[in-house]
Order: sequence, then C-alpha cells, then structure tokens
Amino acid sequence: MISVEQYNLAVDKYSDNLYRFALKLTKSSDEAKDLVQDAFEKLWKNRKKVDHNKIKSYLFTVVHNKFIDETRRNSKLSSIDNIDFEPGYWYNFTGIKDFLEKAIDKLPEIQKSVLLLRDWEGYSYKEIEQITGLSESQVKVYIFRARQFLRKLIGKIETLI
Amino acid sequence: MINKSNYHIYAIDYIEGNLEPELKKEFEKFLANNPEIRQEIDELKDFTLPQYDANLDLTDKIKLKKSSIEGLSYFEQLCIEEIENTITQQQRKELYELISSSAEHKKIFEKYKLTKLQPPKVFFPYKETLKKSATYNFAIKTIISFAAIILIALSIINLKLLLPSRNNSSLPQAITIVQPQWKALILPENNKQQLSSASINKKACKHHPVTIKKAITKTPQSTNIQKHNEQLDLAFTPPSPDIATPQNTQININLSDITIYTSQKTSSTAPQNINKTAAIIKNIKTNLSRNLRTLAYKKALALRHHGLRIKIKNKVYGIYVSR
Repeated sequence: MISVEQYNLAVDKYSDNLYRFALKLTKSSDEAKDLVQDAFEKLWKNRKKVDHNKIKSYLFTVVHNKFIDETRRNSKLSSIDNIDFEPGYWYNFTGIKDFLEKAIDKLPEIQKSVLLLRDWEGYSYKEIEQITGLSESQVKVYIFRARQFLRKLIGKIETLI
Repeated sequence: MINKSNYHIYAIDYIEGNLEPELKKEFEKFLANNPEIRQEIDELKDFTLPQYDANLDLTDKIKLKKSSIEGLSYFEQLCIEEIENTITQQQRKELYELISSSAEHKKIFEKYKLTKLQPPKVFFPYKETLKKSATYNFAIKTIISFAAIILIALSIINLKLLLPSRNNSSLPQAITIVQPQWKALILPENNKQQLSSASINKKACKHHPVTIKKAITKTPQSTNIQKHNEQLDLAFTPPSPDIATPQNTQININLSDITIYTSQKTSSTAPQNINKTAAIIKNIKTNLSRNLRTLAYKKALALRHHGLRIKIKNKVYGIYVSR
C-alpha cells in the first residue's frame, strides 16, 4: 500500500532516473515522457497492491516492459561487423563518454535496457531479473555481451583516430 | 645361490630393503666376496633421480580455460567479472597474471573498463504534473457525495412540486413562509377605499387592523367563510426575515389579481374572490427564490388545514390564521 506522500516522494526521487532511462531507450523525449507518465499512472492505480519498498523497481519494470513490447516487433540484432563508421566519425564526439552514449544505441534493445539498469541505476542481477522477467543467467549474458560489443566498438573507433 | 650372473635380480630389492632376511644375509656374503660389486651397489644406493619441474606456466594454464559465456574468451570474462565486481579472488589473481604477462591483455582490459557507463544528469520536466494532492481522494469523494445529495434532494423536491395537490391542483410555485410573530394586518373599516386601490400602503395596513369578517361581508362570494362568523387575525410573513419589506414601501398589486382560498376546514368551494382584502398581502415578495418557495411550500402544506391561501398574480401564498 502506497500513501499519497510516498507516491509524491517517489515522483521526486525516481522520475528523473526513470525519464533518463526511458529517454535512452526511446531516443524521443515525447515517448520517454509518455512512458514515465504511464509508469506513474500505473503505480497510482495499483498503489494498494505495490509494496512501498519496491516502488522504484516497479516503475522501471513498467517502463522496460512497455518499451520492449513496443519495439519487440521491430527488434533487430546488431552486429559489430555491420557497423561502419564514416571517416571522421569520431570527431563528432567530445570524448569517449560522449561516444559511448551514442554507441549504446547500437546495442540490441534488451542488452541496452539491461546494461542501463546495471550501470545507471546500479541494480543487481537479481533485481534486473525481477524488472525484466529474464533469468539471472540471461541478465548476466546480456550484460557481458553488451560490454563485449562496446569494447569492440571502442577498438574499432580507435583504429580510426 | 647368488652369483655374478644373477645378483642383478636381488640388487634393487637389497638397495630398497625389500629382501627376505635369509636372502639379505646371502646377498651381503656375496658382496663381501666381491668388493667391485659392493662398490657398484653402494653407488646405486646414493643415486637419486634429478627433480623435474612439472609446473606448467600459469599464463599458459589460464589460457587453456574456457569462458562460461559463449563467444567470450576466458580472459574477456575475467575482465567483465572485474568490472561487474563479481570476480572471485582466484579469478582476480588469474586476471592480473594475464594482464601483467601481455601488453595486449592490458589494452583489452583498459577498453573494458571504459564500457562502464556513467549516468548523465537528466531531469524530468513534468514532475509536478505527476504529483497527487493529499486531499485528492477526499475532495473528489466529498464533491461527488455533495452532488449526489443535492441531486437526490432536488429530485424529491421536484417530485413533490409536480405531484398534484389532493384539494388544490393549482397549488403554488410560490408561497410565503408563515410566521406567527407576524401579527395580523387587520384592515380598518375606514380603509375600504384604500382596499380598492391598486396601490397598497404597507405602513397603513400594519397599523390598522381589520377583521376578516368585515372584509368578507363586503364580498358576496365568501359565504363559506362568512359561516364561521369569527374574527380572524390574519398573519403572514415575508419570505424570509432578510427580505422584510421596509416601512412605507409601496407594493403595486392589482386587486383583481388577488384570490383567497379558504382552508379545507373552512371551505370546500375555494377559490373565492375577495378582492378587497388585498391589503393583507402587503409585504409579500412576489419573486421568491426557489429554495424559499420550497420551504414555504412545505410550511404551507402543514398549515393548509387551518389557514388560508392567497393568490396574487397566479402565485399563491400561505396565510396563517389565528383565532
């Protein structure tokens, strides 16, 4: 059971993180805003059922599931080999952090989602399992593959510098 | 019998101390008789095989290991386990062994370290719109409750107003509230001329009582009331105290507009026109609010069996009659 005060506190505490997460997934501020609003609306509707200690993971679960449902049909697997950088591509970025921000978008959606939950929100594998509905070992594999993908991407960009 | 052709058979067991006591004695007797062979045996006793270093190079050993994740080398797995902080002590030892053994490994590890994402600062711009008021539920529920009560009340009131009266189907859309403290306005006899006027002076009426009997006697149609032949004080009130008519206010009413209905007890032939009693209805405000009309209607219902009603311009007002 969540009180109005707890709900409003959750808005203060989690809406920025949730929006950042949704923004990264959707790459659209409008879609991200809708996802965040939907998540909080769902939380409010289900406030009698949701444990107030699990508000954050509930919100991220809603956003993740909604996004995955939306994009599942259009999901495509990225391959490092399919990514070609034009000459001078690197100079579009101010640094490796900036480059990685863009590089994440080249990850398959599920890997991106899991990696963001891990790195940005600091969730454990177990918590990501609960949010995404994946098994813990799947979560681990996705994270490892995502990191391998990014490492290779970094390697590829370095050869262009 | 141990001799020079077969002593080899017993030599190893003798050196290792495995010979039977009898054979051992015989072997030692043989050695005493053959000092060159004793020397050979003594050399064999001191001989040990050189120690061979069987440990494989650690780096090579680690390289033999396989990753539990398909598509990743064991070294890559160690790198990621380190970043993820899920690495064991043994694995960490192996990781740093590999890193120290190869510049290439170190380079790869550095790249893996970069894959740890740092969250950017992002602010949700519509935060306030998501918040709920603490009184949200209460307010909504209260408003709905009040609306429901008002609707029910209005329905009941409308129903009552729409229902035809048992004895008077023309009953009122507007009735004054009758209050006893408003004492009778009895028209004085010398005010007959005034009564016929279309304009009535309130102050004059208030201070000049008239009996209903006298008024009725001037009106041929009022036979039923006449029967009672009683002096009646007619009391009436303005619709509410806050709209009490000030002194000397002129209320313009055409006498022809006025009809008085007797109560059930006094008459069954109402209405009867007694135009000249018009003065008694001064102070009546003709435009009552709906709520006041409703209240007045209820009061009039309660009083109708022992009072009169007066109709002015198609509006009927209750008049309390005290004896």
